Amino acid sequence: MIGLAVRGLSVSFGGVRALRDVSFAVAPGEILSIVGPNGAGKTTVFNLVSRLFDADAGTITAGDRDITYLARHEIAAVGIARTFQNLELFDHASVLDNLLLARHAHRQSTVVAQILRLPSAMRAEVEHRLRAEQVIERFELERFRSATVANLPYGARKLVEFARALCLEPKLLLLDEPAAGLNPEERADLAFRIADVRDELGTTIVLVEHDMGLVGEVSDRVLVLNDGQLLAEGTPDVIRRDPAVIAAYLGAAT
Amino acid sequence: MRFPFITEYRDDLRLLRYRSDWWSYGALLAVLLVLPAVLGRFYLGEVAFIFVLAIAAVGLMTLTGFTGLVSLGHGAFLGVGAYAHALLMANGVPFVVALPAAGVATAAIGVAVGFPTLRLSGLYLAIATLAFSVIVEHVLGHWRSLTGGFLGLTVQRPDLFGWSLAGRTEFYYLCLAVLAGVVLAARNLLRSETGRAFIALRDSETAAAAFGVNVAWYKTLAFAVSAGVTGIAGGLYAHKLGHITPEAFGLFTSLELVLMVVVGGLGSLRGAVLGAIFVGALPQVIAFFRDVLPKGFLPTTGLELTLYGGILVLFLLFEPDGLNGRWLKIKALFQTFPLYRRRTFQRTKTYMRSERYR
Repeated sequence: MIGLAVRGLSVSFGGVRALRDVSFAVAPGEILSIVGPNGAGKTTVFNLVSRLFDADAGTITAGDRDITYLARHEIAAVGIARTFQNLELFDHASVLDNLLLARHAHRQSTVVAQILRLPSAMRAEVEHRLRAEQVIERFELERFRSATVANLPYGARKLVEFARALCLEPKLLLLDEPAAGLNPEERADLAFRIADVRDELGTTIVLVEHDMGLVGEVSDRVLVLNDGQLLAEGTPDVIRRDPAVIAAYLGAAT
Repeated sequence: MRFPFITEYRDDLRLLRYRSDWWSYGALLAVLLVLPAVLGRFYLGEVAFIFVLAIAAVGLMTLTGFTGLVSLGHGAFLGVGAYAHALLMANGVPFVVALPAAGVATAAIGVAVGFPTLRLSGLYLAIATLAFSVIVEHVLGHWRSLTGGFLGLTVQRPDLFGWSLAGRTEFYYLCLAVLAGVVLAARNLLRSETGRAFIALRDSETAAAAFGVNVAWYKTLAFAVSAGVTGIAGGLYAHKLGHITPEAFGLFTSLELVLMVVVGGLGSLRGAVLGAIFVGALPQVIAFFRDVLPKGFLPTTGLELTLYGGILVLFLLFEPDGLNGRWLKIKALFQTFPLYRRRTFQRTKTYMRSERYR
């Protein structure tokens, strides 16, 4: 399991300075939540770490590897998996195929071996299938296994995306608003699953979330972003009482 | 409903998972094998032609149906394959070597087209491939020293180690064998790691990249595979025509191929073959009605193009899943009778995703 260290990260889109000199660190095996009002730059942090955008300044280190300038498809091999705020599933494939695709970073056979179904390709398929089935079992997705993703209810799709990220066998997992749009029961399940993944697999988890109840329940530490800057950092209890945080969320009582 | 009884993942990876699949595919193969004995010479040639179209359709399906890249220039790939094959054979290269070599040459051209168009998608990619198709037709028509210009090129008769394959029956079996091989290879590729990467690119490029799919590499690979298969079809097409000219590989052929994959059902190999049968048989159906209906009732020219357009619109409106979708529905109707529900196949509407990460 690897930690994440972000130092002096800045990025702007046109005239908007989305992040200004943000630094933080996540210890291996820790659950860190990033919270903040809309437009604070939470998802931007994720997009920079998963290399969808280039940072204007600063460095990103995962474990002992500098990933600031890696190509976006090389992130998976480092052991970083993510989910997306607006679901980026492979809609017209089955749940099983979605999970199997997440094994791409672990691919082990050549194109020719796949066409001829040589033993190496078959071994790889069975191995991927075994890993995918383990995740299906952990998340109780058996009844959706061969369903097309586009036909699933929203809560199930959300869960499939979490499961897909887990199929990569990540060392660092980035969850972007996993509880958005879930009903209370699904939300409780999610809290359990996040904690379960960290406790059993030891995965480092960073999550962006608005649901303060969930954040308080699962995170070891909370980071508050406001207007692209780091506002506060600490345990959930400390953050909840922090006057600067209350001001940012509810407006200053001056 | 049927459920396969599986005790090992390996069982689930088998090509034919049900006992009934063995029967149905076996019966299909048997019918195709005895067809030359019952079918007349003319119709046998037409069926062989449909096989050739089906190979090309499988090629286009890999690109458009599985990787989500639209190509309006596959007629040109067919042409490159046909000319490469004809030229190789004219220079004394034996048939067994020339056909795969034509495929490889076309795949190389596919890479040359795919690489510069990596950043294009949707409509822009369609226009770029359309331009490619026009360029190829022009080059084939004007590079007289190599291609013989618009007068065309006469194709040598195919033979396998001295055994002539030019006869109707022999050519039929040849096309059948190549089609079976291509479908099998495509099926294996598309249900492996590579095929899943193609499907991932089609459905969400952002997520595909986040899970380690090298977008540029796999898009180029998809172009290469697709062009290569179409090139092999082109080689057989050349034999079918006997004499090839640039006009045979123009825009109209490209549109026919697009019609095949859309009517067949995007994202399914069975659909590619069904679409090829549909489009390939259409001229015969028209000819039949010309004979039956009073003289002058049907216009002599332009009818096919009009029909193609109409059929495409009707399919997009009423059966977006194509012939394959219809086939699956009929199958489900029989398997679940009398409990079939139309809603089973109803899809949640998916909206165009914003492309902000590109």
